[in-house]
Amino acid sequence: MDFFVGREEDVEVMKWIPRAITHVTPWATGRCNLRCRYCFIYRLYPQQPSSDMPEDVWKALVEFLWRESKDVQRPNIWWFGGEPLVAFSTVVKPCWEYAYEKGYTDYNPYQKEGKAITWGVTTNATLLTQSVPDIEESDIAEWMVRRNFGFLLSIDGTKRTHDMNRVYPDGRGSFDDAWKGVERLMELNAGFQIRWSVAPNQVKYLFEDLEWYIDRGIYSIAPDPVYEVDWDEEALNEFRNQMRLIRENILDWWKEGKRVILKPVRDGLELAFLFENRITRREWRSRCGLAQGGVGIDVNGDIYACHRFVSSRAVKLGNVKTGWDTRARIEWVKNWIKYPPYSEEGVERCRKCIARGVCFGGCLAVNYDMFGDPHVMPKAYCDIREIYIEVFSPLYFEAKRRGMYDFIDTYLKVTY
Amino acid sequence: MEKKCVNCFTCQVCYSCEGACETCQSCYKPERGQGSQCVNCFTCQVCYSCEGACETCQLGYAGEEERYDKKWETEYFADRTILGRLERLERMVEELYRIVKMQSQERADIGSMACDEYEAVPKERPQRKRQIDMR
Repeated sequence: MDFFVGREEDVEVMKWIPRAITHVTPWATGRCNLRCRYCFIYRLYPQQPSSDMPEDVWKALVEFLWRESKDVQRPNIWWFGGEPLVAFSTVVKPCWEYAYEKGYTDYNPYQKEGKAITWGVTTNATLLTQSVPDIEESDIAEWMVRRNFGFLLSIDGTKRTHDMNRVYPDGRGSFDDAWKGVERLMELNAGFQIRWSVAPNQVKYLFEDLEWYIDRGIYSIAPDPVYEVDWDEEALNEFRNQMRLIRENILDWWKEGKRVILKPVRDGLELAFLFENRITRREWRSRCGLAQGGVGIDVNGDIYACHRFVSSRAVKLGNVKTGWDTRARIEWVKNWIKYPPYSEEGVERCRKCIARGVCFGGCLAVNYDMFGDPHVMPKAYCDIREIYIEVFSPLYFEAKRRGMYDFIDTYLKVTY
Repeated sequence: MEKKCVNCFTCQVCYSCEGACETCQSCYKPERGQGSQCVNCFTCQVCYSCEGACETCQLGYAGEEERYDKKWETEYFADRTILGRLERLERMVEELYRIVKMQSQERADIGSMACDEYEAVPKERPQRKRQIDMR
């Protein structure tokens, strides 16, 4: 937003709206080949488009990012959906080719001189080993790795755990197909992160499954609870036990050169760091879910506050063809900053919460989906944050005692 | 009671700039498979060096922090032996929980004070509109 002509009361809001965006997370398609039992898209909003993003939209999308990223040198397109690889030949591939022909990207955009679009995909990995016509490479994985795509793989632990929830429409588990994709990426020496959804019915296997991954040299893992389901006391206690097992082992893993990065550990370390520096509250007004860094784009090119807001289609902030709806953008931020996020159980819980120092409201889209208000965090989120702090804060001091500053520094730089 | 702001800290510990920060953008590299992550620097104000100079915080900055840091530095880090470090660790953990307890109490007390950040929060209890039933 280079020029601002608006209302006086909007001036305060404008400082929270950056002039450039860094990334877009578009839905390549509304279709998915799986029917996961906890899916926040299809289980909350069953009516989703069955179409792929058409050519005129993905072309406009590329131009929108190129324009709105301004002087950001490595803007990113991170495909989402639906399962984006269902639309590999109709969207993902031709869109890259379009950007390449326009000189916006290269096979290795990270080494390209000047500005270049970088790429990534969130995928269930089941289609990575699929061969497709009209490409030189033997499969989708090789095509993407050759173009330096990033990969976020939605896989929940081992076969036993994964197949409980991540299933095909006929109920069959998808682990075997997904794991072929993982093995293919490892064969191609590609980097990836495992995005591991932890539901109450799987939680007791978390640590055991984590060890299974570490034994296979996979260290970048983001286990994150499914907050849209009910977590009873038994499940929360089991979650705490699993976190304690991680705490007892993680420094030893690092000493052995296994540099495991886990989101829950980062959250706990961060609070200890803030306390040590006498910081009592982190900033909550500037964050994801407000179109302050990246935005979500649906198959029609409509712009939403982030990719998680696409499924509800409730917070539309423009269209890639027509540009920002500036008024909607201002109102969305204004609505957010009017008061801080708070617990489903009320502000009394927040005032006494040990996690408040690092709390910035959880996922705004989860909150919106569950309560119709981005400010209200589900009880499970609050319970689990307190577990993270309780279990992992002491680890900060233990790591210092052992002189593991590399561990601390690395973790404090990780963002999710 | 000492006037002390326990509510806000606007010195940008959010990490959400993700390269949009002018200083950061040249080195911002969303590493493959690592998500959005600046691997080189983090100049988006994690230094906490404003020490109250920040306009939003300055009313609440009581200047106690400096003395606290000095004490921390001289008392906690003087003994560099293993036993000294172990003892220091125990004291740090005790201190951490003391701070947590103190802050919880401060937050509970602050409810009636003018700078209650939750003042504008709707009074009615939120109701769930949707949730996932995994059965």
